[in-house]
Formats: sequence, structure tokens, C-alpha cells
Amino acid sequence: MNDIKEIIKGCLEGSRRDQELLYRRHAPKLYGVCLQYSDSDEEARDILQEGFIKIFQNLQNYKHEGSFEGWMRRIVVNTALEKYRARHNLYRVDDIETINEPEAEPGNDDYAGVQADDLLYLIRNLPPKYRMVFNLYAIEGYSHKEISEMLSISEGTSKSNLSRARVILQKKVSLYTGLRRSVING
Amino acid sequence: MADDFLNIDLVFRNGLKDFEALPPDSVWDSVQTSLPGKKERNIRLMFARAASVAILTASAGTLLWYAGSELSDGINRQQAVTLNQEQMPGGSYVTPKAVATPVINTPVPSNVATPQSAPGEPARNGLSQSPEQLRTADLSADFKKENRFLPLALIQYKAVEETGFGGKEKREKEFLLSDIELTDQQQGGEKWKLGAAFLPAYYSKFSFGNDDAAKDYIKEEDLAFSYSGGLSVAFNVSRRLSVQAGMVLNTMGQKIEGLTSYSGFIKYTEAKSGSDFAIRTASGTINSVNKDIYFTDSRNISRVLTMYTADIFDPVKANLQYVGSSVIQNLKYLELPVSLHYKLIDRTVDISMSGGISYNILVGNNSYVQSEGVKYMIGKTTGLSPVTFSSSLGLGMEYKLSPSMTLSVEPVFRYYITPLGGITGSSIHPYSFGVMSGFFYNF
Repeated sequence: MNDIKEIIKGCLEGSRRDQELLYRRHAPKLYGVCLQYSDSDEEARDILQEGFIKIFQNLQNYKHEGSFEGWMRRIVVNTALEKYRARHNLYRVDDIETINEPEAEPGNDDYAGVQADDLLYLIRNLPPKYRMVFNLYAIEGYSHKEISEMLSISEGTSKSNLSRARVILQKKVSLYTGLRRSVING
Repeated sequence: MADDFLNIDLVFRNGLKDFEALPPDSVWDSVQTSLPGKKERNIRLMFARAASVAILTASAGTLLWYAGSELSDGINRQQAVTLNQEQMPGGSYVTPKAVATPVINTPVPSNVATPQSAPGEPARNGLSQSPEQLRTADLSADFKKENRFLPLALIQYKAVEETGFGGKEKREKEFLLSDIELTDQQQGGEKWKLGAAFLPAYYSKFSFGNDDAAKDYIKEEDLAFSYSGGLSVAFNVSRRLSVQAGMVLNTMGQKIEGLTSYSGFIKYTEAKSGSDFAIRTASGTINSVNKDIYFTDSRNISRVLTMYTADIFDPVKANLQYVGSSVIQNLKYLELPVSLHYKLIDRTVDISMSGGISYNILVGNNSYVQSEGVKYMIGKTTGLSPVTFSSSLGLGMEYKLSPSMTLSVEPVFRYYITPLGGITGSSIHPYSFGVMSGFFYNF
């Protein structure tokens, strides 16, 4: 297997073969990220395409410090955020919403067995503003302060959106696991 | 509560940590077109490009040779095409009086005119499944209320448990179907397209100017159905934008009504060379070099210029044979179009709009009268612009027959920006509607 440093070097020298090798190796993982942040498969493809173009264009800035995959993932997530901002800036109402911490239903903490594509389906069916905050906070690990800067919303809105996203997801996952348990137990 | 939230975060973080999905190949195709870089030698690609250049060069050579022979022939004839003014009293043209049109279908004598004929695992990607497609029978009220959020997998899981049928296979099948759909939607990332296209079109024309004679002429002239065909090469600048250039031979005809012609005149003409008849049209003058054909204008709008006016010569009394009541002008243009095409819809069937401009070289110019399928060539039209420019606007559809072959159908509107020609005080700008259809090879 080719060492990633050699592939990056080849990409920087303009080798189309190395560029394709890098793409083929990492596209499936990054496409999964794109699907998490998008409403449709077409949008996910656009994010992946633009993301990879940026990756290749900025490859000389990668200093081989830290995970290369993490570096690429950040670029793809930023591309998704740019697309989201471009689409939602015109009619964003997040900041005027009141911040009421929603009540979660009684929890069901046995979530084992929920498959990845089902989780993805649930995330993609969230309203976009909830989906973005949940992805950035729960999956990527950003703080509310960072998210508020990324999405140009207040920290309070970020928290509120996260709570709403969690409530919705918790209900869906509980329903899923509860139904699954009832089916299994007859 | 906080634990529940933390738990749900972990469910998604861990569940999606290693999630992968295979993107369609079209993404890489689009990415690589946007990247600079030295490309590895691709013999197939180089061969295809070389072949396209060779085909275009050969076509251009043939057409230019044809154009050159037509033009030089035209110049030679042009020198001979001068009216015999020395035979006319006062040295000026006289318009003949109209004569009665004889009965049609009079046999044409055989001795008077010479007839001429002219890697990784596949994406498990059933994610955009419509909720309406899901099976909802026998679910609880709460479940029904919420089922629009539930994934396909859950519904199938329950259905499988209830019915006893194998669910894994069914589910795999569902996802495979989705994959096929995605594959169908892949758009070729090929950079080049080479193709052949055919465009039948119906022409009409705008005329500008205040010349009354020109207006009278135009009323009697009908631009006829025309056709063009040629080769084109397109370069995909991006996934949606492409530039197309090509070489097209366009044939357009015009029928001029009200010009009665007779054959058998050669025994009456005194001129050994030059032209006895000049026919004025809105786009130029046809100087007849066929000594056997006599012309008269049955519309009486001063189009036929001759010394053999009706008071001097009566074709019926002279027992000339009637040929026809119209003259056909036939023009051929070698067109070099350049156009931009933008895909409005980028799917299996693409919808795109196009706009372009074309440099048109006049390569064919002849006029004739026709009787019972036999053409009697009479000469060329003088006063036509040797070069014109036209613009085009189209809205087309492309369907991918295979990864490398595309069928294109495109309704096109064309307008000649510069006039074809014109008598003093008028200019003629044809326009046309047609449907271009062609096959393109993508590489």
C-alpha cells in the first residue's frame, strides 16, 4: 500500500494517478460525512466534489501534523457549512426564537443495534438548522461558542437547536428500539 | 435527562464513526476536470483526439476544395455575364410587358436545353426513500403518526418478522435498486465530445429598408425548407458548461414566383456570349447565362431586365416551350459555428440551453428553373455577401445511450446578423426554426 506521504507528494507534483488514488481511498468516508450534512444525495455529491477540489488546492498547506483524514474532514465540513449558509442566510429566523429547553420523554438507554444507515436517515430528516448544530456538537465535538461563530447564530440558539434535535432524535431512536424489542419478544 | 442526551450523542457519534458510502464516479470525473496537473499518457484518449482532428481536417479540406472550385467557376462565369447593352436602343434596360401564361404541361422539346442534375463496497444508500413507499399496515397509532420519520430498514424489519419472509435479501435488493438509480444518474466526466448532427429548418426572413421595389420583390419570394449537416467538437469546461465548435454545410433555397420561363430561345438570340436576361431579386441579381431560356415577369414588377421586351418578342408567337412560372435560388454556406452550452438539468436526460455565433462562407450559388423534375441551370446571383454572421439560440435535450454515446435533440432558432445581400435600400436577414439532432461520442 502506498504511503500517504508519497501519495500527497505525487498529488502536489500534479500526478493524476496519485490524485485519483487519494480520492478513491478517502471518498467513501468523506461522502458519508457529506450525507450527514445534506438534504439530498445531489447536494452531498456537490459538497464532496467541492470539498475534494479544495483539498487538492490546499494540499501544500497540510503540514503532516495530526490526522490527514481529520484535516480533510474539516475541509469537507466547512464546505457543507458554506453551502448551508448560502442557502439559509436569506431566511434565517434562528436568532429570534425563544430559548425553551424542551422536555425529553422518559429515556430508553438501550440503543444497541441501531444501524448506521438508519441513524443517518434520522439525522437527515431533522430540520436543517437542528441537523447542523447536532452534527457539529455531537459528532464533530465543537463547542456552542464555535458553532455560533460558524453558523452566525447566538450561543443560546445553538443550545436550543441542539436540545430540539436531541429530543427529536431520542424519540425516534426510542421508538425504533422499543418497536424492535416488542417484535423480538413477540 | 443529561445522561439521556449524552447517550443519544454517543449513539450517533459511535454509530456514524465508521460510516462509509460509495459516491458515484461522476464526482471524481468532475473533480479531476477542475484540477491542474500533468496527466498520465492515455493512448485511447490521444488516439480519439487525433482521429477527431483528422476527420475535421479532412472535412474542412473537402469543403474548402469544393468551395474553391465553386467560387473560381463563379468568377469565370461572372466575367462572361454581362448584358448585351450594345444591342439595346439607348443602352438602357427595358422592362417587357407581361404576356399571357400559356397552358402548363406543354411538352419540353428535347433539343433546346441541357438538363442538369444537381473500488470499495457499494453504498447502502436507500436514504431518500419516500415515506409513502413504506409499508404501514398493522402499526400502532403512535407508530403511524410518526412513521414518516422512520427508516426503511425498520419497516422492513417489522414486516419480515410478521410475514416470515427473508428480510435481509429483500433489504439488500432495495439498496441495490437505489444503487442502480444512482448509476443511471451519473453524468459522464468526459472532457470531449465529437459528433455529427443534422438540422432541417424552415427559413423566413426580415427585410429592412424603405425601397419600394425591394418590398414588391420580397412579396414574391418564399424562403423554402432547408437543411444543414456537419461535424462538431465540444469541450466540457465544467460539469454544466461546454464550448462547441464545428463545421456545417448549410443549404438554403428560395423560390421566386411570377417569373415565366420558356425554352427554345437560342435560335432567336443574337448574342454569342453574355446574358440576355437579368432577374432582380431582393438579395441580388441573377444574370442568366442559359441562352435557351426566355424570361418574362408575369407580376409586372420590373424584375426582368432585357432588350427582348414583349413589344419586340412574343414567346407564344415564336412557339417557345413553356418551362415554369418560378425561379429557384439555391445557396450553400460553409458555416463555422461556436456556441456555449449550459446544462439546466443535469440528469440521465440533460436539458441545456445554448447560444452561439457562426461565421458563414458562401460556397454555393446557383439558380435554375424546373420542369417535370428537370432542372435548367440559369446562373448565379450577384450582389450576395461572400461572408455572413448568424446567431443561434437553442434549448436542447441530451440522452446518454451508453457511457460513451449521446443522442442530442435541440430545437434551434437562428438569425442572420449580417444581411445575405440586397439591392440598394434594402437588406435581407433570414431567420429559421429547426430541430438539430445528432449523435456524439464522448471521450
